[in-house]
Amino acid sequence: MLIIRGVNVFPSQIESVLLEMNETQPHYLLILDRVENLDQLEVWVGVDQHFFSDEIHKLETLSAKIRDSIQSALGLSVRVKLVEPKTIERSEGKARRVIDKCHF
Amino acid sequence: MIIKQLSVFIENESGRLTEVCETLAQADVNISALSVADTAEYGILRMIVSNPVLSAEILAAKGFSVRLTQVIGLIMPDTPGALARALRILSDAGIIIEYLYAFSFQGKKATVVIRTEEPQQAIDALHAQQMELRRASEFYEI
Repeated sequence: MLIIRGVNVFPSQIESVLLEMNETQPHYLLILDRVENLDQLEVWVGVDQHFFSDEIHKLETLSAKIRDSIQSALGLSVRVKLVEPKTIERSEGKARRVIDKCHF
Repeated sequence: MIIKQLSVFIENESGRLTEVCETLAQADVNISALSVADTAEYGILRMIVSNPVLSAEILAAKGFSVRLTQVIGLIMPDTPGALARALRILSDAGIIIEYLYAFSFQGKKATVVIRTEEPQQAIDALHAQQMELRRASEFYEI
């Protein structure tokens, strides 16, 4: 569990949100960072074959939809970043879902 | 008349475009046209290649997210007003262009690659006005 700006966050909650959306696969990575003294959660979502559209407005719409769904599930604002599936897989190899940049 | 365009999702990181190009080079795939749409975090590489289906397969096998999209290739003289005339035909026909990019291919005429949700309607509208279009076979290896 992570505590971000006083909100308890379980990675499984984010996984559920991604699973509920038809467009995405639960390929994600959570990046916890501190920006201007505030904890910030960044959710990296792998853009796989199923939801890759070659039109930017469709990808941006999807990214906003993921962000809004996670925000309403967690009650916490997050940043969503679309990344290549390979980026997530590399991290999964180490069985890590969370990268904490604040508490190394 | 409909050409298969290869689109690849790439993160804005050094070496990504090189990796795609090297992968295609190893498979002996020729790139006739290329455009990159970039955002702050990622880019979409769009290409007209000599073997789109094979290219998509080998890039997917290397872990890239790829997609084949339908585009049309409009041939036009390299003169002022040529693009304006073509776009007028499409806008009068109510066809929305998602994006386009242009290149010079085999000689002095320019080719404009146009992506629209209604490629067949665009082809019909352009043909009705005697506009010339590229055939997919001009790019593909047979």
